[in-house]
Amino acid sequence: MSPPSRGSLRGSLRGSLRHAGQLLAMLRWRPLALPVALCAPLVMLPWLAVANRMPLPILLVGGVFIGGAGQLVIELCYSRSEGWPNPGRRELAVAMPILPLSPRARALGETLAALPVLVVGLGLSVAAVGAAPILAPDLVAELEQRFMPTSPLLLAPFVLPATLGAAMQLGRHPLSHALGLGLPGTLGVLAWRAGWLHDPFVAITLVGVLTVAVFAVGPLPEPAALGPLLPRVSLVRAGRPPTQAFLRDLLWGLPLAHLRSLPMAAVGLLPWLLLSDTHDSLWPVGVVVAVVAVALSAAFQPLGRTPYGLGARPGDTPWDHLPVPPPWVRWGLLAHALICVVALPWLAHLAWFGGDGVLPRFLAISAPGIAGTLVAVWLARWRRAGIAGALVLVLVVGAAVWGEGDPSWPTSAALGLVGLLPVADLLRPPARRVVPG
Amino acid sequence: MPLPRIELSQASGVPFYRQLHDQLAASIQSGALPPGTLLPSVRALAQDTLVSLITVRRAYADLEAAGLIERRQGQGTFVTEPPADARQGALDDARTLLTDAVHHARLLGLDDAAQAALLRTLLPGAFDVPDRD
Amino acid sequence: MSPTATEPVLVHLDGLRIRRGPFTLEIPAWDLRPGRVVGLVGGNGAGKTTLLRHLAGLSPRDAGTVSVLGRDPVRDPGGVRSVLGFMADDLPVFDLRVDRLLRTLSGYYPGWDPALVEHLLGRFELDPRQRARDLSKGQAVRLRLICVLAWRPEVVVLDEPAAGLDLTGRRRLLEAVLDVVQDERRSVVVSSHILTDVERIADELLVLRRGRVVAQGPTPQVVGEDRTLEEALLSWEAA
Repeated sequence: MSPPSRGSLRGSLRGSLRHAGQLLAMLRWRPLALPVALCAPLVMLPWLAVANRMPLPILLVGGVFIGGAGQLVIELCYSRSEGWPNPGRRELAVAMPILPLSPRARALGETLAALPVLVVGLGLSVAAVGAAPILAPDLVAELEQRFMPTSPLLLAPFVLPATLGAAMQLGRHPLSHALGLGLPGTLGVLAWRAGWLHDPFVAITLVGVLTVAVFAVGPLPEPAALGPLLPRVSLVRAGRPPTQAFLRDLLWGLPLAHLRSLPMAAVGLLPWLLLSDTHDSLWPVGVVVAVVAVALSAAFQPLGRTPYGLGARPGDTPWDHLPVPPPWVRWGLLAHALICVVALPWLAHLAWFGGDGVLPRFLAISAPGIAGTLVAVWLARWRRAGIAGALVLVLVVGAAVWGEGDPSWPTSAALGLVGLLPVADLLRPPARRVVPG
Repeated sequence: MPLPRIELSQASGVPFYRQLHDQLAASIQSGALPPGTLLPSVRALAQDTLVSLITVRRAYADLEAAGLIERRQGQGTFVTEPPADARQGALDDARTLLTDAVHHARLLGLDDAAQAALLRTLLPGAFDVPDRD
Repeated sequence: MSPTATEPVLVHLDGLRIRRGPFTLEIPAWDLRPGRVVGLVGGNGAGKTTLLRHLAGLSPRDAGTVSVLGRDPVRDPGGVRSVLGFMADDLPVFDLRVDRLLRTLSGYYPGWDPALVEHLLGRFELDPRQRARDLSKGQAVRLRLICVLAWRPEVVVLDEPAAGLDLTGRRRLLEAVLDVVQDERRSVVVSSHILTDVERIADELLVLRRGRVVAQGPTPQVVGEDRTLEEALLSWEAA
């Protein structure tokens, strides 16, 4: 008997083209996914500028979030199989059925499918910013000077982490995931800082060539080494000491699960950004923001479908059955609250004093919406999403009436809310209800 | 012709191949499956009765060994026609035995009517049709 | 039905060793020939899922040769998965409506049979307009079975397909498995804890215990004359 054969490169390419075609065709059943994905590059513009002002270690953290967002775009567009979450059993980053494709063909196909969406989204973003007649002239000038040249770089953070990031993982450890996610984005920003990528087309070409090269000929990790890129919050994980798994999920998984939707949530805040100089008409804009926040939370609902996100509390299953001593649960929750309440404002603060201009303004006005959306996403329930949207509305109107243009008040209130609301929810008296775990 | 319904029972403790064999054999002997009937293929019967192919093959092999069915190359499996000369031989043997018996009965003083009545009790059902008022 | 030299081999294992931490699966030799239902049985931790996932190209091995219709699951997982359909009850599916999910999958498989899909949807009593996420566990198992049967792969590998199925569901499963082997070129490998079902439909068995092969061969020979598979398995476990 002749030795078993390996797959051919041509078959692999054909498979990846077919895969890309199927994924794009699937978008016709996902009406919400396409607009969100198309808007995604626009949202990233200010965030990239924020990252650009930060020192390297923080830049890497920013890269993780950007990478997470890239992951999210692909996940949102092409697969949302969170119905049966099965951490550690995924072939690649995105949960998909077993398909007659090699990992190489899959990675290549997903890159091919994501590229047109991102390119179109980028074009639309640039056109939208240029065409907005209500934008203050100095704002337009600043956007053009500072953000437009860097915009193609977004392709790299969006596409590469989801694909290259998967190949670069050193293992299943969260830190390796973070490195795989953060490195491509960080390298992109560093290259821009060094002045290598002034021309957008150079950047696009580089990204395209690099991605295709890596997946067409480069070594791919063994299937067993491929895990989910972003940690899924499962609270208890097989093969780990329970307390360690619990703390890891609480301290790392949950905040990251919160934060990875942050850039995407800001999609809904674009009108706010564009209208921020016309303070006369806060009402309609506030309504738009609240509605968009609720719509986004609906779009991101699957992300919140963790036992935690579905409303499990101490006293509920699965908290009841955690093989963790009760003090651990208590202190773990406190630590989680601390991270959410302190770390988020700290990051914002850092960006805040990085300079003046459009960024502080953007952050100030986006924070309430982001906070509301995050909470809504996190709670993952329609009723609660509605409540969160209403809260955002109250916050926005309140800031307009009493804040007198001072952005620090709504910002700190909103960021505090991100941390406090979920924790308050967790500490409510337990209901007698079985939560799917 | 459709196969008589085969019911396999998990609870009986009798292996499936045995149950299959017994039920098919009973159908053949009772005439429900007359000689020459084409039996379903192994795969089809496995599908009908939800048992493995190997179970059906074994039941068929046992039936074949017992001479109840036969496999014809390229045509399928059929219920066996009893061989004509074998049947003739059996009839001849029976005739000899019965002639002997009638002879002995006459020696014992039984007339033909008494012998016929006796035969009627030995073969209930065999004389139903000609029974006239 | 003694295997003849000319009969092709669908899956060929030779000296397979897969190590996962303290657990090692070792299978010196095993062949899957066409037209058969092969039952894979053994207790928890026997290595059934490890073996089946490797066959589908989902995990690497440490030693040995594995060939699925001439393709190596590690070096050519895409090729293997276009001739071998793998089903396990915890694999992800696209979270779409059942009919849209099936239509999407049909684009990946040249052998996809829409008529068969219609038939299976009816037999398994699945509503094609239901969303994958809203299916019950038993319905999800049925959906996964349709996904793997619809494109008529030469080798169908089912890892605990009966888990979550009710009595009717199990009956439909047995029918579907025997449907596959109506085609003499195709085979099914099925692992299950429901030993009566395995014993009922399996032509051959591969029995594992803690990563080692306890017995393999035609079902009657492996089980023996005067006992059931359950009794046989208990005696091996006790040994």
